[in-house]
Amino acid sequence: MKHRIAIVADRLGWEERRLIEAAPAAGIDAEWVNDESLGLGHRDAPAVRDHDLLLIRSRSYTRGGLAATLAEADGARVLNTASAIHTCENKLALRAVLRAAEIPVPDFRLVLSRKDYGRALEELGAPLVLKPVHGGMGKRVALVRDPDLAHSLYDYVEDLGHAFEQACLAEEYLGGGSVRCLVIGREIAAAAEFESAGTDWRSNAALGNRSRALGQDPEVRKVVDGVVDLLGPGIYGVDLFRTPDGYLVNEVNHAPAWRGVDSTTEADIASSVLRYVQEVLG
Amino acid sequence: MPATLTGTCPECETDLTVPPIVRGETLSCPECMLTLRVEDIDGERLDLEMVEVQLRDWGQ
Repeated sequence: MKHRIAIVADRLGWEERRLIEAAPAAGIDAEWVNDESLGLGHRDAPAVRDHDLLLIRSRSYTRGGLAATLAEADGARVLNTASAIHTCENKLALRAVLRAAEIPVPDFRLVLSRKDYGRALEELGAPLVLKPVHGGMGKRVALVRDPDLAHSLYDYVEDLGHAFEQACLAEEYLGGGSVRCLVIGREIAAAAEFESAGTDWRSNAALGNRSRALGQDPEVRKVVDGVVDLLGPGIYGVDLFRTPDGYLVNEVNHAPAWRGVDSTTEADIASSVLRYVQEVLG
Repeated sequence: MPATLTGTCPECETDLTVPPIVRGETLSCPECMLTLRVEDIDGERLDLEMVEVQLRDWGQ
């Protein structure tokens, strides 16, 4: 019997369109389900009742975790799991559990106030990166090279309206490049190194920076295995920093974009994701 | 699927003709520049709804 899956998102982007196009060949019926009108909270919610699996592709950190939690509680199969999404959606919580599991991460501090910020500057020194605990795509991530500018920057953080937007993570600056690994199940389906393109120090794929494919580096493999052991198999974008002492985990995206690695490597990510979905459905 | 689909911008009422597109995808109205999402497709006709360009808690 053909499996029916819901691609849960507020809209279809490049990745979701590829999934829908590749689904028939994988023997899957995939349809978009709007994450702003799921009506979850009971087992007869159509999103739960009418689908064999919910693939959570919400760009919204708020919606993705909540939808996964309720759908899972009501008996739906959900990818990624609610537990994995909740661990990844908060950069600080993720850092804490990775560090507790002895997976290498950059040195960091939680910044909830100007006092915290001052202490982080003293302890980590400049240059330092300040970024929101919730968020992604490089938004509001600031590189503080100059201690004179540091406190002026914090004026803008204080002006943000909500406490959750003011919660920040300060970390040591480790250079302008990162390695993005697209994990499907337990395997690294593609890996590419992103470098800032010169006009912006940030190296996020979402900011359109340069990338090149990487082979299967055993050191990368070891770190990624540790992350997957902790979160459980799933579909993740694992961002690593390369340092002279080895790779450090920057963050893990639970609804990763893959247009960047797809164009850098020969990998057909959409088909690989759908094969994994079939594997999960059994 | 038809070679082109048509719809009307719900904000400025401009008639739009676009290449094949599926439910959930977005497009920009060339007249008023709003981001529109395809809610439904009936034959060659698009049902469009205005959406935020980007939510405050987006990340990937």
